[in-house]
Amino acid sequence: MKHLKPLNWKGKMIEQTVNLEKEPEVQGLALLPMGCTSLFDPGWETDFSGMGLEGVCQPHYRDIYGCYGDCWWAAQVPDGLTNYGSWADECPVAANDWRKLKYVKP
Amino acid sequence: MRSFIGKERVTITNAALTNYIPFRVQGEEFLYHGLTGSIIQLDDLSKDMVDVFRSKGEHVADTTVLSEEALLQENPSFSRVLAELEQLEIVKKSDKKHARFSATPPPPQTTEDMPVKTLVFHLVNECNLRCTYCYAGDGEYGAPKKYMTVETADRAIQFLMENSLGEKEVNIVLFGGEPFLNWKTLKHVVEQASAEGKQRGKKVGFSLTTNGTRMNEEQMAFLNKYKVMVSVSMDGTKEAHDRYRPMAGGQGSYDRVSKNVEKLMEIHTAAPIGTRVTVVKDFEKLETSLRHLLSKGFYEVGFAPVTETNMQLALDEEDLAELLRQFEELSDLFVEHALKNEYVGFSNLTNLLKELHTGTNKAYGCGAGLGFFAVSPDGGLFLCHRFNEQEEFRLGDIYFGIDQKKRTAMLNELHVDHKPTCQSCALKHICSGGCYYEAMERQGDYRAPNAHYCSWMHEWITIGLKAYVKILQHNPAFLDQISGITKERCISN
Repeated sequence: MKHLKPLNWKGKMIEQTVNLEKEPEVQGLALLPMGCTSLFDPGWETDFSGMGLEGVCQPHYRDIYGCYGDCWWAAQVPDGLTNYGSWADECPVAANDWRKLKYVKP
Repeated sequence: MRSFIGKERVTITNAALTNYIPFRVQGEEFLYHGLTGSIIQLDDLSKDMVDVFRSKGEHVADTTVLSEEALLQENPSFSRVLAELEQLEIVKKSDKKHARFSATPPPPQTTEDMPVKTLVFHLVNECNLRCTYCYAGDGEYGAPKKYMTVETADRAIQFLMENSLGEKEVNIVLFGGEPFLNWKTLKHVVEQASAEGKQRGKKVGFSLTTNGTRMNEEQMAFLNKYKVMVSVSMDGTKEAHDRYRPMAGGQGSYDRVSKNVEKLMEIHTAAPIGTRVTVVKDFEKLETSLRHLLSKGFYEVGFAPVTETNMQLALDEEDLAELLRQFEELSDLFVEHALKNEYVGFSNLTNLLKELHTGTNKAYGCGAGLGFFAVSPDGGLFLCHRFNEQEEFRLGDIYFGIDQKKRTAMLNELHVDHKPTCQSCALKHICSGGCYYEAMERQGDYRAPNAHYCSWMHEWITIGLKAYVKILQHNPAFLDQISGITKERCISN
């Protein structure tokens, strides 16, 4: 705050909260259903235009995890079955842990 | 995403500077925001912007609305202040509704899980004084001479223990009529509730309101032993006190009370003792009353305007203006001493400063029906002690429990969002419409806001804000000290 100076306990508390906040890192996508809308598929949030235009085609997180997870692919992607069975072990909740997916980016 | 929700369309955005009081201390500008409870110091630019709002905007009570365009035309730099005010939720734009710090807490959906924290025991509906202004009608509340038996008191203690759910601290208010007229039950309540509390791991606090005419030394020692917080009702000097507080036989009660208070100060040293002055038409100079009562050893003096419909006794506008002027004088005295780190026991200001410091955000005028109930001598539960024995405000009894349906409905209709005139008011979350009993007496409806005190409260809170800033600038630790404890407690006896 440059122009306003909160003085009492409550005012300072609010200022502190506001200062701690950053621009949101991830944005839920409500307007454009792409793929399975009932699941969180990592990758949508990296397309801030929300129009599926940035980084065409889909961001790689989504491409690979969306298929691997329990969304709609009939079987797991081959690498999850054979060479890298534990690549998603540290990602129990995609919405929170998508950064921990272990794979080599294309 | 933005292109889908039509951001490019030209729309007029209104900015509302909401629920605020601007004030000035020693040439500097401040703003109190009533929804968040923030007290903000303004720099020159933000002060100019507030001025533009005030001169060009549309006012509804303490809220001002102006189009953003008009505002920025005055000075494009205002956009920076506007952004900050928006972040603090002091300014709201018409297209933004989400509120985190400024929202009014909603009424409870269900009340089953809400603990009872404070229970007022009407030990007896009788009094040995005949105070002219008494709202309880000689202590009888229209239900003459009922005494609470030891058995009923036991049940009431059980009720409190069970209905306080997981609360670790509960309070019992020993009340009447005059509670000393039922000493047997009073003593039993204190002993029994203490023992019961110990067993259940709950700390039981006691407070007692008395007229001070009927205490012997043994009783005083008992109160001391159990650290009972005592408040004695006195109206100031002998002359002021005897005017409206006669004994049942007609003679003044001052000498008797005064003698007892002297003894009480000697014996009861475990908890501070306070006093309450009822302010009636043609009242004594408050500073005279305050100095007189503090010299008797009282820790604090609280002044409460009488609740009266009889205009012979009630304060009219002129009296209220005089009361305010004198409150301001006492506040100056309070600040003068606070800067020297000395405490002047003017409890009206102490309570206000506590609320301003912590930034109170209340949807209800008091805790009645939330965590606060009164129990009548025969075990009926009432919204608060002032509504004792009034059927409309009976919320069950200690035997079958709280009538939760009625409690939920009543809390719903008492919520400040149902008081239209409070919505744009800067005091929405600190006064929240005020006392329900006052509203019933003066406005004819317990759900109405205390409209007769609106402008008075604005001025009084502004006095408090100025005192707050003065103390903050020179002795901020003092405010932390007095705000140490915030307890849910009814502030009007």
